[in-house]
Amino acid sequence: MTGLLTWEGVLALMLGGLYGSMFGAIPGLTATLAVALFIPIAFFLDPAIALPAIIAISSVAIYAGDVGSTIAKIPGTPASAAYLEELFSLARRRGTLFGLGLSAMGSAVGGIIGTLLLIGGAAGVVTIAKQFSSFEYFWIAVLGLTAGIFASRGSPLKSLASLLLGLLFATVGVDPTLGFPRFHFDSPDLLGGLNYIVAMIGLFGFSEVLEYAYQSQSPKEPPVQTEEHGRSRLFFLQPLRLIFKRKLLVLRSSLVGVLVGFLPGAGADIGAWVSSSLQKMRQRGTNQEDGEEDVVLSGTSSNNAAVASAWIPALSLGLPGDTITAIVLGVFLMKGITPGPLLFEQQPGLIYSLYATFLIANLVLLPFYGFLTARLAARLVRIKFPILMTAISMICIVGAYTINNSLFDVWVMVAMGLIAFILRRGGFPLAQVVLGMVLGPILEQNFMVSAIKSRWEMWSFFDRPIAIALAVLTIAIIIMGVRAHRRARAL
Amino acid sequence: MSILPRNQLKLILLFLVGCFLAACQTGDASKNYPTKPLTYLVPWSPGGMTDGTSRFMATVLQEAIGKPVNVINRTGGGGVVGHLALSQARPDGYTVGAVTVEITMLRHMGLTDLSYQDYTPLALLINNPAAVTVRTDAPWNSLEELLESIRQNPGMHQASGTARGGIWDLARLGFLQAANLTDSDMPWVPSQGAAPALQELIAGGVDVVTASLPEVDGLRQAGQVKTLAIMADQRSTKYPNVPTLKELGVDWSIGGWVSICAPRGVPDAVLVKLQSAVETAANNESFIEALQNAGSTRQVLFASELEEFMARQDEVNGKLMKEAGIAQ
Amino acid sequence: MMLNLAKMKSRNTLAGLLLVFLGAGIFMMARSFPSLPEGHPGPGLFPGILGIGLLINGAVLLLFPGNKDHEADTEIKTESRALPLLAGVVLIILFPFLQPFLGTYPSLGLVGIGVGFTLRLQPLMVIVTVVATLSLIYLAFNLMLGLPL
Repeated sequence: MTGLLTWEGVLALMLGGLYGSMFGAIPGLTATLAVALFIPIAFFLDPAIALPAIIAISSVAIYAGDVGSTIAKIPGTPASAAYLEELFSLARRRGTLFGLGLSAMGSAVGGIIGTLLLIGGAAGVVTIAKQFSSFEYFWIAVLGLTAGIFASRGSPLKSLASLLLGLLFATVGVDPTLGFPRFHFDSPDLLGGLNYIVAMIGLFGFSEVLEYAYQSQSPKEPPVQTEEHGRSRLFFLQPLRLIFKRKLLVLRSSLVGVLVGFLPGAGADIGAWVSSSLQKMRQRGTNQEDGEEDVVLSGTSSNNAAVASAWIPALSLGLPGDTITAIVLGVFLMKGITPGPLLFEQQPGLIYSLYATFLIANLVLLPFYGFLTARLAARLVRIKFPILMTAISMICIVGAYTINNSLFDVWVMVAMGLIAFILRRGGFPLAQVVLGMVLGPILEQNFMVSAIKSRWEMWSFFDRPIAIALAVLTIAIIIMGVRAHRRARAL
Repeated sequence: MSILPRNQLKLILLFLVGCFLAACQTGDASKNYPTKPLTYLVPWSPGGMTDGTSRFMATVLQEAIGKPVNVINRTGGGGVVGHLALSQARPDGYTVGAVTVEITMLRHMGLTDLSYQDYTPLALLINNPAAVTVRTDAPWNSLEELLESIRQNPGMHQASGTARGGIWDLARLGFLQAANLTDSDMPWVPSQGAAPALQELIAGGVDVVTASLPEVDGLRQAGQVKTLAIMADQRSTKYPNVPTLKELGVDWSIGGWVSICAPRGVPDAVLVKLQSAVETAANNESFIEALQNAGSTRQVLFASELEEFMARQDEVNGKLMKEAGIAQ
Repeated sequence: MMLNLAKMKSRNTLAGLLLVFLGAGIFMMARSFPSLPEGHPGPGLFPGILGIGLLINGAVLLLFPGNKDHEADTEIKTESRALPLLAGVVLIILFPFLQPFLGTYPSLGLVGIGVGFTLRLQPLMVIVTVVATLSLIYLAFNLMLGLPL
């Protein structure tokens, strides 16, 4: 596999990175969709070219989810929603370039640590992944939700209410395990459920437009920092210096990302939520502005570390975790490459080139496209607010519409915007609604599957070693969260 | 509007007229079909078997019909949303879509009134038989041994593969019936799809997975699972070593199939052209090769043959679901 | 920044009431869902639990609306204009009605013009903004990503 060094390989990486940054940054487009559009091409390409392109798409897209957060408080992925407030405020305080620089450099370092951990510990991760049954997935979802309760600055009770609301939205439509239709009010569109990406566009994007229309026309945010000089210093050097200073934090967050990253579908999201929530709890009661950098760093390094980890079950067990790795597996099987534990012995060349691609994607592509998008974003934030808001309202419509080519989703988007408007007035956080919608199906399905499998013997939820460990971890987070909240209140 | 200066008002009017003209330029043209790109609706999410097959089909159909064919995923509701969208699309030949085995099941579950009769059948593309798959370290090396074990410990072995009442659940039900066993002898553990069910299988949560061969092939090649039999009439050309249920004395076959259909009521002049393009595409060499590479079992039936096939499936599946108490 | 206590209390009471009603409603609906064979809870289990959770959550807010724990950590200004808000919602809702007749781009353009005026942009700026956004969307979706609208 020397395909990486050919010009086709380089071109595939570059195009993959470009597509990744666009799909990540535009609300409504996802890395999964980007890879799916790539399927008809991917199956006719040499895997040495197809796989690097897929890696480039997924590595850059998850960073690009932060671009919308800094421009207009619209996170591109549920993972970005975990540290949305912090990143937005940071970018306003110290400049867009620094904010996105911290996000890109944090992602890159997290991705590299994640890849290195995989190179060293793939066997360990495989052993853990093989143990994961519905009980463990259930507990991981509980862990993510618990982290969500304590991730908000305000009252834990209200953040629980937002979470419950999100979980409730997730139950709309046909119950995917039992096939029973719920809360559809005889509408075939509601039978399909509420899409969390559409909800995100409404909750964060459209609600900003509403908020702006409702309040006086003066922008309520602090003025944007102008950054005419030392762009690359702001984007590369300062964030890297900070990361070096906080190396333990970054290492720990990346480790969390790797450990939960192989959860199909939501690994990167849970990683980002758990590690940024842990960081927020540690900072309760201290000056919040100082801690913003750390929260962003912990979230962003964690979600990129998870990207690499998601490949492990596919490579080592032949088990497709999510859509992207399912396509990867399809490419493998088609080309006669056998996944499994033996893959590491039989095709060391392939494995090494995959590792190398992950490293290149994080070392070269992410900083490169990150810098380009950050420069663009820095221009966009200087556009006058009413203009930006008009454009955003149009992009929100297109984003909501394209995700499933359904006009009904535009309705959902508007409804979510109004719900966000009401929730804000009551001091209820928004990001938790999205977390609830993402984790709700995972939580419920794995609970039902476990219960049916064990014939409703509830002790079986505490019967397996990893399940017990995750349950204990959940209780630890609750104790930590409550104590941090008390500490903050005492001040 | 009086607050606006006059020249700016003109500008806006000009813009509005422009918008309107842009909207009007899509006139009707059924004579020289096709004049614009086609839309290919897929009722399942990107990356799955239906999506992959349909995307391959779209690329070759594009060649055959001479206009771009854009794949669009309309997912949700266990397939209801996408199937409904296709049946409600304008029957002008510019919207085609994937119709899958679920069309013969959803209405029996009471989820929708849609049936196969709401479509103009064009071609059946693939029909992947269900397979009986167990862990590699499971004590059974043949189907007989597994059946014997189920008979001796009824209810102890659990199977999974998709949601309750889904196609692989039907596969299990029919298999148990044909082997003179009942629903409760090997209960169903619902899952979100084949991949989570396989994860359960290797983690030891369930004992049998009844998903199709291509879906379990990754794990099979990785040496994590073994397939005891497929539920087909003939052995698969790609996996010639796996016996069929019929060979083993269990008279049952079932598969997950994907077809391409149009809404009901496509005008004849258009349908003739569309049908011939679909037939050319379905027989395209590179399409056949792509399907083979993806591990799918190709089964081709056109127009009225496809309609008969769907009617038969509808009857068999409906009966099975009623007996199992899944149907309403 | 912070709301005064009386206002916070009234808002929390209202929020609590809404949550109690929502929770109770969901719980009642969930009870009508069928259960699994042998009396095990079925599809109604999860929504039922969520309903109870929302109910308790709302009840706590109702009982202790002035608790320091439930401070609304928001930066809501008092000066507000409800009309533009309504206009914004109505305009976006227009899109699903216009799109089947006019197509995606023209209807998007019309909605954009409306939103621009609602946000008190200069007419010339409205057109520049709408045209620029439309071309950007066309460039990104149709040309680069191959997702025709």
